[in-house]
Amino acid sequence: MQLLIEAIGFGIASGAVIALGAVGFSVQFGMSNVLNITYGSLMTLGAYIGLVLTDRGVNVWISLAIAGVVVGAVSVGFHRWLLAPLVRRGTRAFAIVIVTVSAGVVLQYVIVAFAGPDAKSYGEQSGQTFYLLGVVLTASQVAIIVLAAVLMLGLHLLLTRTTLGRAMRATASNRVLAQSCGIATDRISDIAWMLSGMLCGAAGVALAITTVSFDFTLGPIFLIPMIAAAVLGGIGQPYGAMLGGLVVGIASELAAAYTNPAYREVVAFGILVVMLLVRPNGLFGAAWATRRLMA
Amino acid sequence: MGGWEYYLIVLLVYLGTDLLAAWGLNLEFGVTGVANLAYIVTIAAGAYTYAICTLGPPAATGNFQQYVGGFYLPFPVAVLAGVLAGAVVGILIGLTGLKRLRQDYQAIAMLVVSLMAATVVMADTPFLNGNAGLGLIPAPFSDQDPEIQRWLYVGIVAVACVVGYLLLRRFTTGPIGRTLRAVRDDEYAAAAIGKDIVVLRLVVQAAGGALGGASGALLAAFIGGWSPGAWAYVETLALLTAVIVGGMGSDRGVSIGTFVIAILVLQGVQFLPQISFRIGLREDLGWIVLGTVTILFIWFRPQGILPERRPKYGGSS
Amino acid sequence: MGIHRLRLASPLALATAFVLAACGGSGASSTPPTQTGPLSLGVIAPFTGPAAEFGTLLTAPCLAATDLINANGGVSGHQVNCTSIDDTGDPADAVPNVTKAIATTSNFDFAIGLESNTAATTVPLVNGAKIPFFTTNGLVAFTKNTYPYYYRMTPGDDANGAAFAVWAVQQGYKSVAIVFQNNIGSEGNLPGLTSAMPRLGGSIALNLTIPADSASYSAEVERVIAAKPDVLIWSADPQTTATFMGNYKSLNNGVLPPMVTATDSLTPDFFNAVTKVVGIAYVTSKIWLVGSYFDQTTPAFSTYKAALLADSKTHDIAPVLSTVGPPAGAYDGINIMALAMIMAKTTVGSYYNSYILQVVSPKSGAVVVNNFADGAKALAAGKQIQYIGVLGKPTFDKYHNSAGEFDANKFNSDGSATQVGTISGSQVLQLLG
Repeated sequence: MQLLIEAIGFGIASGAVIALGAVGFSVQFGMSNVLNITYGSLMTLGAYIGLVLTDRGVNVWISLAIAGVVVGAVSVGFHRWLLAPLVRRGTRAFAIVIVTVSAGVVLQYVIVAFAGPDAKSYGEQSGQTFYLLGVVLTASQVAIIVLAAVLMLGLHLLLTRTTLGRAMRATASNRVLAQSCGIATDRISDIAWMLSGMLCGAAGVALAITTVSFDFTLGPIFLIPMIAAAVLGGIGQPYGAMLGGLVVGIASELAAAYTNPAYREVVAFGILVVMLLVRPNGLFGAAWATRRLMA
Repeated sequence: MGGWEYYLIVLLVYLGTDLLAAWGLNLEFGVTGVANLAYIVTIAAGAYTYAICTLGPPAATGNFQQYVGGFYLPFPVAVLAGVLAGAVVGILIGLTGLKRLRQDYQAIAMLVVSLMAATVVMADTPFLNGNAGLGLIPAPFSDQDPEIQRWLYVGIVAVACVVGYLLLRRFTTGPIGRTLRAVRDDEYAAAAIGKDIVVLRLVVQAAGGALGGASGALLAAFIGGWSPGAWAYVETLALLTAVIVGGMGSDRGVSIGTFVIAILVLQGVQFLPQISFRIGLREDLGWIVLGTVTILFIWFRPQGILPERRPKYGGSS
Repeated sequence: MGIHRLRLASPLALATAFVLAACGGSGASSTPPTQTGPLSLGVIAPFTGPAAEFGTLLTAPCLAATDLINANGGVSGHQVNCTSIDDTGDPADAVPNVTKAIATTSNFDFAIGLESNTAATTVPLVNGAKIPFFTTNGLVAFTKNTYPYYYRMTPGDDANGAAFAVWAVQQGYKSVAIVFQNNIGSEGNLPGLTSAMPRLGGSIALNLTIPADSASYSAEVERVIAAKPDVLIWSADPQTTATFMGNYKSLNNGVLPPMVTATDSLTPDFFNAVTKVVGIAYVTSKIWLVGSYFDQTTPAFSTYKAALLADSKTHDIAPVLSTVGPPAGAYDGINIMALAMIMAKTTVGSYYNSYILQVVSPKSGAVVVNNFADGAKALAAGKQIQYIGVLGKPTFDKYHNSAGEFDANKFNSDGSATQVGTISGSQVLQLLG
């Protein structure tokens, strides 16, 4: 029983990080219907920006915020100047995915060319350890869970209570119709990519904190669980992505505890493959799977 | 044997096996439209199967590596076993792709399948020696003079390429080729005129997988070793770039693309001067160039160097 | 194709090497051939990929040795250059890289490196090209080596594993938890360790293999904690170690078990990664690094260390590196090969290879030398020499392996290490038999 509760605890902690990344991914996918594989390397970029800052003594949470802003800006540029033009030209969905995979590889190896392949770390971040109801969590894990929850809530409020949010949802659901209502869809698109890019950068830093020691392959490794969570919860549904993150995290930790720990990732992989093949709309999603690409 | 001669042999063998792989991928993706990013698993299946067929039981070399099998089979049988393994894996992968999915979803699902396969192999050490991979894999003609043996091997690879190319043409030209392209371009129309999509797809997956299995088996025999690093997911990207750069769907185009990517780019960066403070920079540069080339081609020339020739039909157009 | 963009020392040297390599195997002719121009010493190691650190670590002894050789007029007048050859840790990439290097490197007459991940594929290539080499791999497969150009002065992994057991028991630990990464270098230690432990009266509470570079090892850590070991016998790369120990600290109230690992972990990457995560107190007091022993008070060692400090490229890692066995073995190997070249009056591998064992064999009336300069001078004066280097007196068996004694080290606060105890080589061998 102890093992079960502990595994669930670890699962919640890792699930929070996965949820953070999954939500950003989900927003990007929902907005432009592009499976952005570069997201993984962009998280790595966030992690390394955070490293540069924390090594200079900047507080880790401020570094997280700065990394988020930088990656947000890079994401906007990436979408505007590479992805959007390709989509407008009618490039097929598969070719777009290949472009994002390639861009991810390029970014990854540029990072390693500058930073080197050796293991990096932010240092001792764990802080105090809390024991709640048999669940073991460190202070920074708790902080990340709180951060993830706050950001999800913020995103939800943005999407449902503000004009901007309504404009974003309209653009995501039917771009042409939104344009005819006078919504500046290009700008809305940029804002959506900025916000999701910020989540991406924040997720990268959160990942770096959680994994204690990392290298340039950090982002791509975590991308799959995040896509699994995003697909599980339904593309474009932030709450779904959060729930998906928890499910993926807990399932992975349970697998690690009860079978070979090396199969931790296989669980996330399996969830994604099954979801894509059986129910690509996710548990809560609308029929995103058959929509056309939108720039 | 001179150093240059041996290097040439290495390049020829690598080119030959890469061609087989690229043709298989082109058959599945370029001609039939299956976004098979798990193609590399068929190559790995061929390589590992060859290895466990030709190696003896693990105890024979003091158990320094663990694996299933170990049958001391001769070279031709083992290669055929590798080819078969590739075909079977190809069909299995094909079964997952039968459901009609968006191509990019299918691509991601395939990519994840290949990652899963790699993780399982690495985690389960008694199966195929896990992360360390298999080594001391026997090559044919090892009792001959090394110089003769190596050129003989180049010959074997060349023969395999000829056979593979003939197989490929069988699928990509003529009535089967037209049917496949019809399925790729508009599946519903093809089904409407009575083509059995499912069977055709699976046959193509088997053929593509067979080519991949052959590629893996021949390469493993030459190198003498095979490890998970050889089929990491970036290797799929290299193959895919070759197909895209060369011209999807075009056999000759893909051949040119393979030469450009596998030999000129990935081997070419080895000839750049070394930077002393960052030795590995040349390899990193190779991947950066690869990724950039892919993006540039999709941007500027998505049809590739030598595009597929669209058949012209007589009449008004 | 890019072939034409080569940097060759001189086309003549390449042509000569090509011709010589081509007809080198056709039996010894009476006059040994002469090469012109500088010699290339290949450092065949990973410079990219997960084990990329080893490339840099093996380049250091090359630089130290060649600095001294070149300052002393080179080998029979030839200067020596270190050439990096990336074996990437993956056999499929190692083969073209090494073949290309053999083809294009002028006067490629000796080599060091060839570590465990790719040794099975690269050793035959280098041996087939008749290039003598001193390797640092520990693969058990080479314990009964038959390649004539192969020499090894580092112990096999099985011997290393047994040495771990001896040290743990010597320190009074009874129950051990074995946690190894699932790579070939680490797993090679296992058989020696698992057979030695019970024979020494100890017990194995847990034997776990972990994947590399995982995001979290919480499940594995819980299993180790539950096994309540006295000591952790460990082998994994820096990143894996840092994450694992970080998780352990969080999950076990900040208490970490003592650790016995190999001197392979005596590297800046390991020290920095682990210290950053668990703090310097643990790293300097509770980690033992077991590996090849050598006396650090000998003149041979002082020369070696001074050379490392003098070269600006190796100055910073000199304090750490000078205390690790395999690079020291590579340094000795280079000196031995260079002296063999002088003895043979030729720099071509297929000719001087038979002199290598003569350089270190005890002979009456031989001058004992412990560095290249003294050896070269003695040979020039017509004397016989016996080289005893940093690793002490080599004792090559008929498989060209020279194992030795073992020792245990602890980290200092600057990342270098100090020896804290010795482990008898014969006891280790006995445990393996």
